[in-house]
Amino acid sequence: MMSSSSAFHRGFLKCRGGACSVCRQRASIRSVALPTSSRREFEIEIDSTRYSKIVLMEMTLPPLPLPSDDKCNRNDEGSKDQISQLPDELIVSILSFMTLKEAVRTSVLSHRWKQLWPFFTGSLDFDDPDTFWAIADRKKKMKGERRKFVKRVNHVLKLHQGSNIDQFRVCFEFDNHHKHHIDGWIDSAISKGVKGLELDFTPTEACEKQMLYTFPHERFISIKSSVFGVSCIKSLTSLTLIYVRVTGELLEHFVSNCPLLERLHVAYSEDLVTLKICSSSLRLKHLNIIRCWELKRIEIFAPNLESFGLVARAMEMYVNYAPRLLDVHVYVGAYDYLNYALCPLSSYLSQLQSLTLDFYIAPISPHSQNMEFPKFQTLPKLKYLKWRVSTGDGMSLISFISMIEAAPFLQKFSLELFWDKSRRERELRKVMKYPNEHLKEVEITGFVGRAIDIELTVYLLESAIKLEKLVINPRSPALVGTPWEFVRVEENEGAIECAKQFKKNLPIGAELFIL
Amino acid sequence: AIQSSRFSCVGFPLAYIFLACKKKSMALKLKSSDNKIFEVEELVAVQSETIKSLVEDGCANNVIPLPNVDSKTLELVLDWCKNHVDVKLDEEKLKEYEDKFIEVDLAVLYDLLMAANYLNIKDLLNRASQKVADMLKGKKPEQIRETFNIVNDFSPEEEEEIRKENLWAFEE
Repeated sequence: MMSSSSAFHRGFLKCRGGACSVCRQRASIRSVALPTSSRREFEIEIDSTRYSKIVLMEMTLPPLPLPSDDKCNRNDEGSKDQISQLPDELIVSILSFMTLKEAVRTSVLSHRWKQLWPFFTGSLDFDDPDTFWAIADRKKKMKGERRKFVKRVNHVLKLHQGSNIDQFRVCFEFDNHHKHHIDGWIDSAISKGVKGLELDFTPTEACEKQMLYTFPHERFISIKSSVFGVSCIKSLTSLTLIYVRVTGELLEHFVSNCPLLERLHVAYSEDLVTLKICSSSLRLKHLNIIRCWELKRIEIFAPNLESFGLVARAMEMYVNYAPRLLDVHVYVGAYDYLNYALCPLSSYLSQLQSLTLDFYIAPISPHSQNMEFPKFQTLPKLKYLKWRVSTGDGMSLISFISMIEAAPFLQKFSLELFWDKSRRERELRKVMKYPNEHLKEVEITGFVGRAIDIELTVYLLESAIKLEKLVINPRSPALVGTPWEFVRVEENEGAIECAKQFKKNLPIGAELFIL
Repeated sequence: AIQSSRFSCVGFPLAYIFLACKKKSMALKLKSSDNKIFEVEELVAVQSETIKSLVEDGCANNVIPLPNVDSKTLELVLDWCKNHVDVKLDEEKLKEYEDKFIEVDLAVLYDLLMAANYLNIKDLLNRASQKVADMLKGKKPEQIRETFNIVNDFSPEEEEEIRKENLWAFEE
């Protein structure tokens, strides 16, 4: 009985005199546990002698006090403030489904509400994209905005009293000068049993290498000065560190000591050199190691891994065991390393549902004249294929269509084209179509309306006989998601005109969307 | 859990005989605050952690009184539970059901919240909380007070002080 009632006690509200709803609840559970005793019920209920005996035996217990039912008056009091009559934990439960900002705004409603938001258990999310972009655009000054940001985080953490939070997220440009504050924030978040921890210190301008914030290793690893026992990070399900220096040793420590960890995302850490993720009891489902350029070696044995992203230079990669892998994003580098980059994953390619390849075709590549792509192994389960390609006009993507043809059940194809502004004219290459009934959606971002993308689009329009949707976005993929995404660029006008020409090539039933 | 799983094990002859003797032994009887009796399958009812613990403690042989839940609310709650028995249900359909289910008056929503809290049905509690949160979102404090009839017991000076303290949250 005690265990079930303590499950009720969500443990984050202080008892206020006799009105503690938690205590009330405890009392009511105990009374539920007692058998009923009213004779009237007895008559309604009993339909077998065997059953009635049980009831009779239990009838000697005192009657259950029923709460006075004041609900019947409700209709007369339609204008009553019913929400404030909800017990504390219910209002906190409601607040926790709001953003931090919205929850803080409720403090002004009334005295009652002012006391409740600090028990918020949702996401302590400190992200301010408008300010970030205003700084990037030099409309606001970094120094002043950062001071305000630090003050805000400190203020909220000082007021916050909840003993648990879903997420702690900080997105702002920070470096090691602010280590003192950031270390304190991490301490706070960890002590509140945070589930998702995200530090995204992406700079608005390239910042000096040695200045990157260094994650406080000693707090977690060194036993002597360890602030937290291992138990404090047990609740962590997701860890995201961007522009934060973190070593492989610490990441391995987190992976082996956080039994619930499902997502690990690390980007731009220069301290990450080797990483060995290896345990048969790992829950880890998503692993992304992005642009950690010092990474030399990665080794993976992860029974539950579903998605894996690796953007790194040529290095040693061992995927020893990943039976559930569905989604892969790899950086290939120069296109001719494609096979090399995919080799460690070769035993999993046939099970993949989604594949993203990042590569570039250098204009001066000696192979560029005769670029024959090696026959690709079949990808029978692949539904989504995406290329992120940096290249110029002289090159062609036609050599890579063997990859599309290797995936007979492909449903969606995306191309993100990072195009250098060379203006070398050349003739379109024409290839035989390769009918694919499943390909329903084609999306091209960074469409320039030149040989490089026209010939590929023509091929796709001819091959995807049941195409439903062709989406063409002439903006560079680098701008997507920034405030400059929708700024009109004159150069795009030509691409848009060109994209309109595809209208007459569309298979029956397909629609063209030009963004 | 040990008890209920033993009884549900058909391969165990004694339990089977016991099942056969006691008609509808897998059904539980719940009594609402207005004395209406609801007969529900155990599988449905034990989505309430409160009821589950009663069953596990062997206290569910008789009618279970739920003095904090009226029959109107209990009917709704049980409908929710019936639709959440099979968690492998089509996710889209389940979402459709939940969205429709939660489209109720504020008063009913409060009753659902109270009932979900009392009966400890986590997914219902979350969905109902989310619904109220959605109603609070994007509104100015004055609008929230109006919608929910919240009486402002701050003096204008006090209110100004709170706004000043958390200026960032009140910036548009």
